[in-house]
Amino acid sequence: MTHCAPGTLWAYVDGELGAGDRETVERHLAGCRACRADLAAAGADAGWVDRRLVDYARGVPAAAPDAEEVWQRLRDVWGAAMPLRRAEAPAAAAGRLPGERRVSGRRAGWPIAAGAAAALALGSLAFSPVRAAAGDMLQVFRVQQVRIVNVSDMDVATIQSALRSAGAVVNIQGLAKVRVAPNAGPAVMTLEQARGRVEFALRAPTAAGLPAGYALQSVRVQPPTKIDFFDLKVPAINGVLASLGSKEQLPAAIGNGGIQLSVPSAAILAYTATDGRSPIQIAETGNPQLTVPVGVDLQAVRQVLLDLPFLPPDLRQQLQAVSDWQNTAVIPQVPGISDPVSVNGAQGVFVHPKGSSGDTALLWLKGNVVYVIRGALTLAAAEAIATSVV
Amino acid sequence: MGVGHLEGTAAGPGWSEEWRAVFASQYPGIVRHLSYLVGDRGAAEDLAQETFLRLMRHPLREAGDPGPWLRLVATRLAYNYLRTDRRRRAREETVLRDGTLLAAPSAGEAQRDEAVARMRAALVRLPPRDRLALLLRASGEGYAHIAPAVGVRPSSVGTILARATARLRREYARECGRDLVGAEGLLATEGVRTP
Repeated sequence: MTHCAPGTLWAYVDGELGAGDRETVERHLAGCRACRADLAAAGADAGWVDRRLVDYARGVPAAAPDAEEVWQRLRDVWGAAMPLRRAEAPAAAAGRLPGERRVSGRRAGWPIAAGAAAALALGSLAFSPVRAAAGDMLQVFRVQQVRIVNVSDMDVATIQSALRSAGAVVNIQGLAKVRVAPNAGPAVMTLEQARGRVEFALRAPTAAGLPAGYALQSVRVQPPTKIDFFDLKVPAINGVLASLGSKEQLPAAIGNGGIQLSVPSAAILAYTATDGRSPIQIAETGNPQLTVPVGVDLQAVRQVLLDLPFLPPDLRQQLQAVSDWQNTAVIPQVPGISDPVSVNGAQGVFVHPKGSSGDTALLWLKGNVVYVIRGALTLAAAEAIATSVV
Repeated sequence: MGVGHLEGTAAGPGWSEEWRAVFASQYPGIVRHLSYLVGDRGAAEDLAQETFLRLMRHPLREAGDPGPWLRLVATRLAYNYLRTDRRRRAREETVLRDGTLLAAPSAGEAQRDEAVARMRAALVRLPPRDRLALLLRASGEGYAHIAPAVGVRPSSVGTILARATARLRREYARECGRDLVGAEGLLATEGVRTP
Protein backbone atom coordinates (compact mmCIF):
# COMPACT_ATOMS: atom_id res chain seq x y z
CA MET A 1 0.00 0.00 0.00
CA THR A 2 1.03 3.61 -0.40
CA HIS A 3 1.82 5.72 2.67
CA CYS A 4 -0.86 6.09 5.33
CA ALA A 5 -3.09 9.14 5.05
CA PRO A 6 -3.36 11.23 8.26
CA GLY A 7 -7.06 10.40 8.53
CA THR A 8 -6.30 6.70 8.38
CA LEU A 9 -3.74 7.06 11.15
CA TRP A 10 -6.26 8.92 13.30
CA ALA A 11 -8.81 6.19 12.75
CA TYR A 12 -6.12 3.68 13.68
CA VAL A 13 -5.25 5.58 16.86
CA ASP A 14 -8.91 5.85 17.78
CA GLY A 15 -9.51 2.16 17.16
CA GLU A 16 -12.02 2.97 14.41
CA LEU A 17 -10.52 0.88 11.62
CA GLY A 18 -12.11 -2.39 10.64
CA ALA A 19 -10.04 -5.53 11.12
CA GLY A 20 -8.97 -5.72 7.49
CA ASP A 21 -7.86 -2.11 7.28
CA ARG A 22 -6.08 -2.36 10.58
CA GLU A 23 -3.99 -5.29 9.41
CA THR A 24 -3.10 -3.51 6.20
CA VAL A 25 -1.97 -0.44 8.12
CA GLU A 26 0.03 -2.46 10.59
CA ARG A 27 1.79 -4.35 7.82
CA HIS A 28 2.74 -1.10 6.17
CA LEU A 29 3.87 0.54 9.40
CA ALA A 30 6.18 -2.33 10.16
CA GLY A 31 8.20 -1.51 7.07
CA CYS A 32 7.82 2.29 6.78
CA ARG A 33 9.69 4.58 9.11
CA ALA A 34 8.05 7.75 7.73
CA CYS A 35 4.57 6.46 8.51
CA ARG A 36 5.65 5.35 11.96
CA ALA A 37 6.74 8.93 12.59
CA ASP A 38 3.40 10.17 11.27
CA LEU A 39 1.61 7.73 13.54
CA ALA A 40 3.51 9.03 16.53
CA ALA A 41 2.58 12.58 15.56
CA ALA A 42 -1.07 11.65 15.14
CA GLY A 43 -1.02 9.97 18.55
CA ALA A 44 0.54 13.05 20.12
CA ASP A 45 -2.04 15.30 18.45
CA ALA A 46 -4.88 13.12 19.62
CA GLY A 47 -3.50 13.13 23.16
CA TRP A 48 -3.10 16.88 23.11
CA VAL A 49 -6.61 17.55 21.86
CA ASP A 50 -8.04 15.08 24.41
CA ARG A 51 -6.35 16.83 27.32
CA ARG A 52 -7.27 20.30 26.14
CA LEU A 53 -10.87 19.57 25.36
CA VAL A 54 -11.43 17.68 28.60
CA ASP A 55 -10.26 20.82 30.39
CA TYR A 56 -12.47 22.89 28.15
CA ALA A 57 -15.46 20.68 28.93
CA ARG A 58 -14.82 21.19 32.63
CA GLY A 59 -14.88 24.92 32.03
CA VAL A 60 -18.41 24.82 30.58
CA PRO A 61 -20.62 26.24 33.31
CA ALA A 62 -22.24 23.38 35.15
CA ALA A 63 -24.93 25.53 36.73
CA ALA A 64 -28.08 23.66 35.94
CA PRO A 65 -30.78 25.79 34.36
CA ASP A 66 -33.96 25.92 36.35
CA ALA A 67 -35.88 23.42 34.25
CA GLU A 68 -39.08 24.03 36.18
CA GLU A 69 -39.04 27.76 35.50
CA VAL A 70 -38.24 27.23 31.82
CA TRP A 71 -41.02 24.67 31.55
CA GLN A 72 -43.55 27.07 33.03
CA ARG A 73 -42.49 29.79 30.65
CA LEU A 74 -42.61 27.55 27.61
CA ARG A 75 -45.99 26.23 28.57
CA ASP A 76 -47.33 29.72 29.12
CA VAL A 77 -45.93 31.13 25.93
CA TRP A 78 -45.82 28.27 23.49
CA GLY A 79 -48.74 26.48 24.99
CA ALA A 80 -50.94 29.39 24.07
CA ALA A 81 -49.41 30.14 20.70
CA MET A 82 -48.74 26.60 19.57
CA PRO A 83 -50.99 24.03 21.09
CA LEU A 84 -49.25 20.74 20.63
CA ARG A 85 -50.97 18.17 18.52
CA ARG A 86 -50.53 14.52 18.70
CA ALA A 87 -47.94 13.40 16.25
CA GLU A 88 -49.33 13.76 12.78
CA ALA A 89 -46.81 11.41 11.28
CA PRO A 90 -44.95 9.75 14.12
CA ALA A 91 -42.98 7.46 11.86
CA ALA A 92 -41.70 10.32 9.78
CA ALA A 93 -40.94 12.34 12.87
CA ALA A 94 -39.04 9.65 14.68
CA GLY A 95 -37.17 8.77 11.52
CA ARG A 96 -36.46 12.39 10.73
CA LEU A 97 -33.88 12.60 13.48
CA PRO A 98 -31.52 15.09 12.04
CA GLY A 99 -34.07 17.28 10.35
CA GLU A 100 -33.13 20.51 8.70
CA ARG A 101 -34.52 23.59 10.35
CA ARG A 102 -38.16 23.65 9.52
CA VAL A 103 -39.37 27.13 10.10
CA SER A 104 -43.00 27.78 9.52
CA GLY A 105 -44.11 31.11 8.20
CA ARG A 106 -45.29 32.21 11.57
CA ARG A 107 -42.06 31.57 13.34
CA ALA A 108 -40.00 33.04 10.54
CA GLY A 109 -41.97 36.25 10.45
CA TRP A 110 -42.26 36.71 14.15
CA PRO A 111 -38.64 37.49 15.03
CA ILE A 112 -38.46 39.98 12.19
CA ALA A 113 -41.50 41.85 13.44
CA ALA A 114 -40.22 41.70 16.98
CA GLY A 115 -36.81 42.87 15.90
CA ALA A 116 -38.33 45.77 14.06
CA ALA A 117 -40.43 46.54 17.12
CA ALA A 118 -37.33 46.56 19.28
CA ALA A 119 -35.51 48.78 16.83
CA LEU A 120 -38.45 51.14 16.81
CA ALA A 121 -38.71 51.14 20.58
CA LEU A 122 -34.99 51.66 21.05
CA GLY A 123 -34.83 54.24 18.31
CA SER A 124 -37.77 56.12 19.72
CA LEU A 125 -36.26 56.30 23.18
CA ALA A 126 -34.57 59.43 21.95
CA PHE A 127 -38.05 60.86 21.61
CA SER A 128 -39.57 59.08 24.55
CA PRO A 129 -41.50 61.89 26.17
CA VAL A 130 -43.66 62.41 23.12
CA ARG A 131 -43.85 58.85 21.99
CA ALA A 132 -46.66 57.61 24.15
CA ALA A 133 -48.19 54.35 23.09
CA ALA A 134 -51.52 56.02 22.61
CA GLY A 135 -52.50 55.05 19.12
CA ASP A 136 -53.47 58.58 18.23
CA MET A 137 -50.06 59.91 19.02
CA LEU A 138 -48.40 57.13 17.14
CA GLN A 139 -50.37 58.35 14.16
CA VAL A 140 -49.04 61.83 14.54
CA PHE A 141 -45.46 60.66 14.53
CA ARG A 142 -45.70 57.76 12.21
CA VAL A 143 -43.98 59.47 9.34
CA GLN A 144 -41.11 60.43 11.58
CA GLN A 145 -40.68 56.99 12.91
CA VAL A 146 -40.80 55.39 9.55
CA ARG A 147 -38.06 57.64 8.29
CA ILE A 148 -35.85 57.22 11.27
CA VAL A 149 -35.88 53.52 11.59
CA ASN A 150 -36.53 52.88 7.95
CA VAL A 151 -39.60 50.70 8.13
CA SER A 152 -42.57 50.66 5.79
CA ASP A 153 -46.15 51.41 6.76
CA MET A 154 -46.72 47.70 6.76
CA ASP A 155 -43.85 47.24 9.18
CA VAL A 156 -45.40 49.81 11.48
CA ALA A 157 -48.68 47.95 11.38
CA THR A 158 -46.85 44.71 12.14
CA ILE A 159 -45.00 46.35 15.01
CA GLN A 160 -48.18 47.76 16.46
CA SER A 161 -49.91 44.45 16.31
CA ALA A 162 -46.85 42.73 17.75
CA LEU A 163 -46.82 45.14 20.68
CA ARG A 164 -50.53 44.76 21.13
CA SER A 165 -50.35 41.01 21.53
CA ALA A 166 -50.24 41.51 25.23
CA GLY A 167 -48.22 39.18 27.34
CA ALA A 168 -46.35 37.70 24.45
CA VAL A 169 -42.72 36.84 24.99
CA VAL A 170 -40.67 36.70 21.87
CA ASN A 171 -37.04 36.09 21.30
CA ILE A 172 -35.67 38.91 19.19
CA GLN A 173 -33.30 36.89 17.12
CA GLY A 174 -31.56 35.81 20.31
CA LEU A 175 -30.74 39.39 21.30
CA ALA A 176 -33.33 40.01 23.94
CA LYS A 177 -36.84 39.14 24.88
CA VAL A 178 -39.75 41.54 24.87
CA ARG A 179 -42.74 41.25 27.07
CA VAL A 180 -45.67 43.59 26.82
CA ALA A 181 -47.55 43.55 30.08
CA PRO A 182 -51.13 42.58 29.41
CA ASN A 183 -53.68 45.31 29.79
CA ALA A 184 -57.34 45.58 29.23
CA GLY A 185 -57.21 47.90 26.26
CA PRO A 186 -58.93 51.26 26.13
CA ALA A 187 -62.06 51.80 28.16
CA VAL A 188 -64.78 54.36 27.63
CA MET A 189 -65.82 56.26 30.74
CA THR A 190 -66.96 59.62 31.99
CA LEU A 191 -64.57 62.52 32.43
CA GLU A 192 -64.85 62.20 36.19
CA GLN A 193 -64.06 58.50 36.12
CA ALA A 194 -61.13 59.19 33.84
CA ARG A 195 -59.80 61.77 36.29
CA GLY A 196 -59.70 59.09 38.95
CA ARG A 197 -58.00 56.66 36.61
CA VAL A 198 -55.01 58.52 35.19
CA GLU A 199 -51.85 59.35 37.18
CA PHE A 200 -51.82 63.01 36.21
CA ALA A 201 -54.22 65.92 36.52
CA LEU A 202 -56.51 65.44 33.54
CA ARG A 203 -57.63 68.75 32.10
CA ALA A 204 -60.39 69.57 29.67
CA PRO A 205 -60.89 72.68 27.56
CA THR A 206 -63.57 75.18 28.46
CA ALA A 207 -66.55 75.67 26.20
CA ALA A 208 -65.19 79.12 25.40
CA GLY A 209 -61.95 77.69 24.14
CA LEU A 210 -63.60 75.23 21.78
CA PRO A 211 -65.01 76.26 18.43
CA ALA A 212 -68.73 76.91 18.68
CA GLY A 213 -71.01 73.88 18.54
CA TYR A 214 -68.54 71.28 19.87
CA ALA A 215 -69.36 69.13 22.89
CA LEU A 216 -67.62 66.32 24.70
CA GLN A 217 -68.71 63.09 23.08
CA SER A 218 -66.55 60.41 24.70
CA VAL A 219 -63.60 59.85 26.98
CA ARG A 220 -61.37 56.86 26.44
CA VAL A 221 -58.64 55.83 28.83
CA GLN A 222 -55.79 53.66 27.68
CA PRO A 223 -54.36 51.88 30.73
CA PRO A 224 -50.64 52.04 31.44
CA THR A 225 -48.41 49.73 29.46
CA LYS A 226 -45.13 48.26 30.45
CA ILE A 227 -42.70 46.96 27.92
CA ASP A 228 -39.88 44.83 29.26
CA PHE A 229 -36.75 44.11 27.35
CA PHE A 230 -35.15 41.32 29.29
CA ASP A 231 -32.54 38.59 28.87
CA LEU A 232 -30.49 41.13 26.97
CA LYS A 233 -27.53 39.51 25.31
CA VAL A 234 -25.37 42.61 25.45
CA PRO A 235 -22.41 41.24 23.52
CA ALA A 236 -24.76 40.03 20.79
CA ILE A 237 -26.59 43.36 20.70
CA ASN A 238 -23.28 45.12 20.47
CA GLY A 239 -22.39 42.81 17.63
CA VAL A 240 -25.52 43.89 15.80
CA LEU A 241 -24.83 47.55 16.58
CA ALA A 242 -21.35 47.10 15.20
CA SER A 243 -22.72 45.47 12.08
CA LEU A 244 -25.03 48.49 11.67
CA GLY A 245 -21.90 50.59 11.64
CA SER A 246 -22.11 51.78 15.22
CA LYS A 247 -18.85 52.36 17.01
CA GLU A 248 -20.44 52.74 20.43
CA GLN A 249 -21.23 49.75 22.61
CA LEU A 250 -23.93 49.22 25.18
CA PRO A 251 -22.51 48.89 28.70
CA ALA A 252 -22.46 45.29 29.90
CA ALA A 253 -24.29 46.27 33.10
CA ILE A 254 -27.47 46.83 31.12
CA GLY A 255 -27.80 43.08 30.74
CA ASN A 256 -28.21 42.63 34.48
CA GLY A 257 -31.77 43.77 34.76
CA GLY A 258 -32.96 44.58 31.30
CA ILE A 259 -34.80 47.71 30.28
CA GLN A 260 -38.32 48.60 31.24
CA LEU A 261 -40.30 51.16 29.36
CA SER A 262 -43.38 52.24 31.28
CA VAL A 263 -45.92 54.12 29.30
CA PRO A 264 -48.41 55.81 31.61
CA SER A 265 -52.10 55.78 30.95
CA ALA A 266 -53.48 58.11 28.33
CA ALA A 267 -56.84 59.82 28.14
CA ILE A 268 -58.40 60.73 24.83
CA LEU A 269 -61.21 63.26 24.90
CA ALA A 270 -63.30 63.31 21.75
CA TYR A 271 -65.39 66.38 20.90
CA THR A 272 -67.95 66.35 18.13
CA ALA A 273 -70.06 68.98 16.47
CA THR A 274 -73.74 68.54 15.71
CA ASP A 275 -73.35 69.98 12.21
CA GLY A 276 -71.00 67.29 10.90
CA ARG A 277 -67.73 69.18 11.20
CA SER A 278 -64.85 66.78 11.84
CA PRO A 279 -64.24 65.76 15.45
CA ILE A 280 -61.55 67.20 17.67
CA GLN A 281 -59.49 64.95 19.87
CA ILE A 282 -57.46 65.93 22.88
CA ALA A 283 -55.03 63.30 24.08
CA GLU A 284 -53.18 63.61 27.35
CA THR A 285 -50.60 61.28 28.77
CA GLY A 286 -47.85 61.27 31.35
CA ASN A 287 -44.22 60.99 30.38
CA PRO A 288 -43.11 57.50 29.54
CA GLN A 289 -40.53 56.29 31.96
CA LEU A 290 -37.48 54.33 31.09
CA THR A 291 -35.94 52.08 33.73
CA VAL A 292 -32.49 50.65 33.38
CA PRO A 293 -30.43 48.67 35.90
CA VAL A 294 -28.43 50.44 38.55
CA GLY A 295 -24.91 51.04 37.38
CA VAL A 296 -25.81 51.71 33.79
CA ASP A 297 -24.43 54.93 32.50
CA LEU A 298 -27.42 56.46 30.74
CA GLN A 299 -25.13 58.82 28.95
CA ALA A 300 -23.44 55.83 27.38
CA VAL A 301 -26.78 54.37 26.31
CA ARG A 302 -27.80 57.68 24.82
CA GLN A 303 -24.52 57.81 22.97
CA VAL A 304 -25.21 54.39 21.50
CA LEU A 305 -28.63 55.54 20.30
CA LEU A 306 -27.28 58.75 18.89
CA ASP A 307 -24.58 56.79 17.16
CA LEU A 308 -27.01 54.61 15.25
CA PRO A 309 -26.02 55.27 11.67
CA PHE A 310 -29.56 55.42 10.35
CA LEU A 311 -30.18 58.65 12.26
CA PRO A 312 -29.97 61.53 9.82
CA PRO A 313 -26.91 63.64 10.72
CA ASP A 314 -28.86 66.87 11.22
CA LEU A 315 -31.29 65.12 13.53
CA ARG A 316 -28.42 63.65 15.46
CA GLN A 317 -26.88 67.07 15.86
CA GLN A 318 -30.11 68.52 17.21
CA LEU A 319 -30.43 65.67 19.67
CA GLN A 320 -26.88 66.08 20.81
CA ALA A 321 -27.48 69.77 21.36
CA VAL A 322 -30.15 69.06 23.98
CA SER A 323 -28.25 69.57 27.21
CA ASP A 324 -30.84 68.58 29.83
CA TRP A 325 -31.80 65.57 27.77
CA GLN A 326 -33.10 63.35 30.56
CA ASN A 327 -35.93 65.77 31.22
CA THR A 328 -36.49 67.20 27.83
CA ALA A 329 -39.25 66.42 25.42
CA VAL A 330 -37.59 66.12 22.08
CA ILE A 331 -40.17 66.74 19.42
CA PRO A 332 -39.45 65.82 15.87
CA GLN A 333 -39.79 68.67 13.46
CA VAL A 334 -40.10 68.41 9.76
CA PRO A 335 -39.67 71.70 7.88
CA GLY A 336 -42.84 72.61 6.01
CA ILE A 337 -44.86 70.05 7.94
CA SER A 338 -44.27 70.96 11.54
CA ASP A 339 -43.27 74.21 13.17
CA PRO A 340 -42.09 75.01 16.66
CA VAL A 341 -44.59 77.12 18.56
CA SER A 342 -45.02 78.37 22.06
CA VAL A 343 -48.09 77.00 23.84
CA ASN A 344 -49.01 78.40 27.23
CA GLY A 345 -45.40 79.35 27.71
CA ALA A 346 -44.16 75.86 26.90
CA GLN A 347 -42.30 74.67 23.83
CA GLY A 348 -44.59 72.85 21.44
CA VAL A 349 -44.99 71.88 17.83
CA PHE A 350 -47.75 72.41 15.29
CA VAL A 351 -48.03 69.61 12.75
CA HIS A 352 -49.83 70.40 9.50
CA PRO A 353 -49.24 67.66 6.94
CA LYS A 354 -49.69 68.76 3.36
CA GLY A 355 -52.15 67.09 1.06
CA SER A 356 -53.87 65.27 3.86
CA SER A 357 -57.43 65.61 5.05
CA GLY A 358 -56.61 68.95 6.62
CA ASP A 359 -56.10 67.37 10.00
CA THR A 360 -53.52 69.10 12.12
CA ALA A 361 -52.03 68.41 15.51
CA LEU A 362 -50.79 70.73 18.20
CA LEU A 363 -48.52 69.08 20.72
CA TRP A 364 -46.85 70.40 23.83
CA LEU A 365 -45.48 69.27 27.14
CA LYS A 366 -46.27 70.95 30.40
CA GLY A 367 -45.70 69.72 33.93
CA ASN A 368 -44.81 66.18 32.83
CA VAL A 369 -47.96 65.80 30.81
CA VAL A 370 -47.95 65.52 27.04
CA TYR A 371 -50.92 67.18 25.34
CA VAL A 372 -52.01 66.65 21.77
CA ILE A 373 -54.91 68.38 20.07
CA ARG A 374 -55.98 66.87 16.76
CA GLY A 375 -58.58 68.05 14.33
CA ALA A 376 -59.17 70.06 11.22
CA LEU A 377 -57.92 73.15 13.00
CA THR A 378 -55.89 76.20 12.14
CA LEU A 379 -53.02 77.08 14.44
CA ALA A 380 -55.08 79.91 15.93
CA ALA A 381 -58.07 77.64 16.63
CA ALA A 382 -55.85 74.99 18.19
CA GLU A 383 -54.09 77.60 20.28
CA ALA A 384 -57.43 78.87 21.55
CA ILE A 385 -58.32 75.37 22.74
CA ALA A 386 -54.87 74.88 24.26
CA THR A 387 -55.11 78.10 26.21
CA SER A 388 -58.40 77.05 27.71
CA VAL A 389 -57.06 73.60 28.68
CA VAL A 390 -54.68 74.95 31.26
CA MET B 1 -38.67 7.23 30.99
CA GLY B 2 -40.53 6.53 27.83
CA VAL B 3 -42.39 9.23 26.05
CA GLY B 4 -43.85 7.30 23.19
CA HIS B 5 -47.10 6.73 25.01
CA LEU B 6 -47.55 10.30 26.14
CA GLU B 7 -50.50 12.17 24.87
CA GLY B 8 -52.27 15.36 25.52
CA THR B 9 -54.26 15.62 28.71
CA ALA B 10 -56.89 17.88 30.10
CA ALA B 11 -54.12 20.19 31.29
CA GLY B 12 -53.63 21.13 27.67
CA PRO B 13 -52.65 19.11 24.66
CA GLY B 14 -49.12 17.92 25.17
CA TRP B 15 -48.29 20.18 28.11
CA SER B 16 -48.87 17.44 30.61
CA GLU B 17 -47.25 16.36 33.86
CA GLU B 18 -45.53 13.48 32.07
CA TRP B 19 -43.85 15.85 29.66
CA ARG B 20 -42.91 18.08 32.51
CA ALA B 21 -41.10 15.18 34.20
CA VAL B 22 -39.25 14.33 30.99
CA PHE B 23 -38.31 17.96 30.59
CA ALA B 24 -37.09 18.28 34.15
CA SER B 25 -34.85 15.24 33.84
CA GLN B 26 -33.47 15.91 30.36
CA TYR B 27 -33.34 19.66 29.87
CA PRO B 28 -30.30 20.49 32.04
CA GLY B 29 -28.20 17.82 30.34
CA ILE B 30 -29.18 18.98 26.87
CA VAL B 31 -28.39 22.59 27.74
CA ARG B 32 -25.00 21.53 28.98
CA HIS B 33 -24.31 19.46 25.88
CA LEU B 34 -25.29 22.41 23.69
CA SER B 35 -23.28 24.91 25.75
CA TYR B 36 -20.27 22.66 25.24
CA LEU B 37 -20.86 22.53 21.49
CA VAL B 38 -21.79 26.14 20.70
CA GLY B 39 -19.94 27.86 23.55
CA ASP B 40 -22.78 30.24 24.34
CA ARG B 41 -25.24 29.59 27.10
CA GLY B 42 -28.03 31.76 25.71
CA ALA B 43 -27.91 30.12 22.31
CA ALA B 44 -27.69 26.73 24.01
CA GLU B 45 -30.91 27.35 25.91
CA ASP B 46 -32.72 28.47 22.78
CA LEU B 47 -31.56 25.40 20.88
CA ALA B 48 -32.44 23.12 23.80
CA GLN B 49 -35.97 24.47 23.84
CA GLU B 50 -36.29 23.92 20.14
CA THR B 51 -35.03 20.37 20.61
CA PHE B 52 -37.76 19.65 23.15
CA LEU B 53 -40.41 21.30 21.08
CA ARG B 54 -39.56 18.92 18.27
CA LEU B 55 -39.85 15.92 20.53
CA MET B 56 -43.15 17.13 21.92
CA ARG B 57 -44.65 17.81 18.54
CA HIS B 58 -43.55 14.48 17.22
CA PRO B 59 -43.28 12.03 20.09
CA LEU B 60 -41.23 8.91 19.54
CA ARG B 61 -43.29 5.92 18.62
CA GLU B 62 -41.51 3.46 20.86
CA ALA B 63 -41.35 3.99 24.58
CA GLY B 64 -37.81 4.28 25.79
CA ASP B 65 -35.12 6.69 26.91
CA PRO B 66 -35.50 9.86 24.82
CA GLY B 67 -32.00 10.98 25.85
CA PRO B 68 -30.06 9.73 22.82
CA TRP B 69 -32.68 11.10 20.42
CA LEU B 70 -32.62 14.49 22.13
CA ARG B 71 -28.86 14.54 22.08
CA LEU B 72 -28.69 13.75 18.41
CA VAL B 73 -31.28 16.36 17.47
CA ALA B 74 -29.55 18.90 19.69
CA THR B 75 -26.25 18.15 18.00
CA ARG B 76 -27.77 18.64 14.56
CA LEU B 77 -29.36 21.90 15.64
CA ALA B 78 -26.01 23.02 17.03
CA TYR B 79 -24.34 22.24 13.74
CA ASN B 80 -26.98 24.18 11.79
CA TYR B 81 -26.68 27.05 14.22
CA LEU B 82 -22.91 27.18 13.89
CA ARG B 83 -23.12 26.97 10.12
CA THR B 84 -25.91 29.40 9.41
CA ASP B 85 -25.49 32.20 11.91
CA ARG B 86 -23.20 34.44 9.96
CA ARG B 87 -22.81 36.87 12.79
CA ARG B 88 -21.97 34.15 15.26
CA ARG B 89 -18.25 34.54 15.00
CA ALA B 90 -18.20 38.27 15.61
CA ARG B 91 -20.60 37.79 18.47
CA GLU B 92 -18.59 35.04 20.08
CA GLU B 93 -15.45 37.03 19.82
CA THR B 94 -17.18 39.88 21.62
CA VAL B 95 -18.33 37.44 24.29
CA LEU B 96 -14.81 36.24 24.67
CA ARG B 97 -13.44 39.74 24.89
CA ASP B 98 -16.00 40.77 27.48
CA GLY B 99 -15.54 37.53 29.33
CA THR B 100 -11.81 37.88 29.67
CA LEU B 101 -12.11 41.52 30.67
CA LEU B 102 -14.79 40.90 33.26
CA ALA B 103 -13.64 37.59 34.65
CA ALA B 104 -11.70 37.83 37.87
CA PRO B 105 -10.72 34.23 38.54
CA SER B 106 -9.21 33.29 41.86
CA ALA B 107 -5.47 32.85 41.88
CA GLY B 108 -5.69 29.05 42.13
CA GLU B 109 -8.01 28.68 39.16
CA ALA B 110 -6.53 31.44 37.11
CA GLN B 111 -4.16 29.30 35.17
CA ARG B 112 -6.69 26.70 34.15
CA ASP B 113 -9.29 29.34 33.40
CA GLU B 114 -6.87 31.07 31.12
CA ALA B 115 -6.20 27.87 29.26
CA VAL B 116 -9.93 27.28 28.92
CA ALA B 117 -10.51 30.81 27.69
CA ARG B 118 -7.78 30.38 25.09
CA MET B 119 -9.30 27.13 23.97
CA ARG B 120 -12.70 28.77 23.62
CA ALA B 121 -11.20 31.52 21.53
CA ALA B 122 -9.36 29.01 19.36
CA LEU B 123 -12.49 26.88 18.85
CA VAL B 124 -14.47 29.89 17.67
CA ARG B 125 -12.09 30.26 14.74
CA LEU B 126 -12.50 26.71 13.53
CA PRO B 127 -14.97 25.88 10.77
CA PRO B 128 -18.15 24.48 12.38
CA ARG B 129 -17.56 20.98 11.06
CA ASP B 130 -14.04 20.82 12.51
CA ARG B 131 -15.16 22.21 15.80
CA LEU B 132 -18.08 19.87 16.19
CA ALA B 133 -16.14 16.78 15.15
CA LEU B 134 -13.42 17.48 17.71
CA LEU B 135 -15.83 18.25 20.51
CA LEU B 136 -17.98 15.20 19.82
CA ARG B 137 -14.93 12.96 19.74
CA ALA B 138 -13.65 14.42 23.01
CA SER B 139 -17.04 13.77 24.59
CA GLY B 140 -16.66 10.10 23.74
CA GLU B 141 -18.62 9.76 20.50
CA GLY B 142 -17.43 7.20 17.98
CA TYR B 143 -16.91 7.97 14.29
CA ALA B 144 -20.24 6.31 13.51
CA HIS B 145 -22.01 9.02 15.50
CA ILE B 146 -19.78 11.92 14.52
CA ALA B 147 -20.24 11.25 10.80
CA PRO B 148 -24.00 11.86 10.51
CA ALA B 149 -23.80 14.80 12.92
CA VAL B 150 -21.45 16.69 10.63
CA GLY B 151 -22.82 15.25 7.40
CA VAL B 152 -19.93 13.13 6.14
CA ARG B 153 -19.22 9.44 5.58
CA PRO B 154 -17.68 7.62 8.56
CA SER B 155 -14.55 6.96 6.50
CA SER B 156 -13.93 10.72 6.26
CA VAL B 157 -14.08 11.41 9.99
CA GLY B 158 -10.41 10.59 10.58
CA THR B 159 -9.35 13.03 7.88
CA ILE B 160 -11.53 15.77 9.36
CA LEU B 161 -10.14 15.16 12.84
CA ALA B 162 -6.54 15.23 11.63
CA ARG B 163 -7.05 18.51 9.80
CA ALA B 164 -9.14 20.03 12.59
CA THR B 165 -6.53 19.24 15.21
CA ALA B 166 -3.79 20.86 13.15
CA ARG B 167 -5.95 23.98 12.82
CA LEU B 168 -6.82 23.97 16.49
CA ARG B 169 -3.18 23.74 17.53
CA ARG B 170 -2.35 26.66 15.26
CA GLU B 171 -5.19 28.80 16.61
CA TYR B 172 -4.41 27.84 20.17
CA ALA B 173 -0.77 28.85 19.76
CA ARG B 174 -1.94 32.14 18.30
CA GLU B 175 -4.21 32.72 21.30
CA CYS B 176 -1.30 32.14 23.67
CA GLY B 177 0.70 34.79 21.86
CA ARG B 178 -2.23 37.21 21.85
CA ASP B 179 -2.82 36.77 25.56
CA LEU B 180 0.69 37.89 26.37
CA VAL B 181 0.11 41.14 24.52
CA GLY B 182 -3.27 41.57 26.18
CA ALA B 183 -1.90 40.94 29.66
CA GLU B 184 0.71 43.64 29.21
CA GLY B 185 -1.96 46.06 28.10
CA LEU B 186 -4.06 45.32 31.18
CA LEU B 187 -1.13 45.72 33.50
CA ALA B 188 -0.39 49.07 31.97
CA THR B 189 -3.95 50.31 32.47
CA GLU B 190 -4.05 49.01 36.03
CA GLY B 191 -0.97 51.04 36.77
CA VAL B 192 0.96 47.97 37.77
CA ARG B 193 4.64 48.44 37.25
CA THR B 194 6.80 45.63 36.19
CA PRO B 195 10.31 45.75 37.48
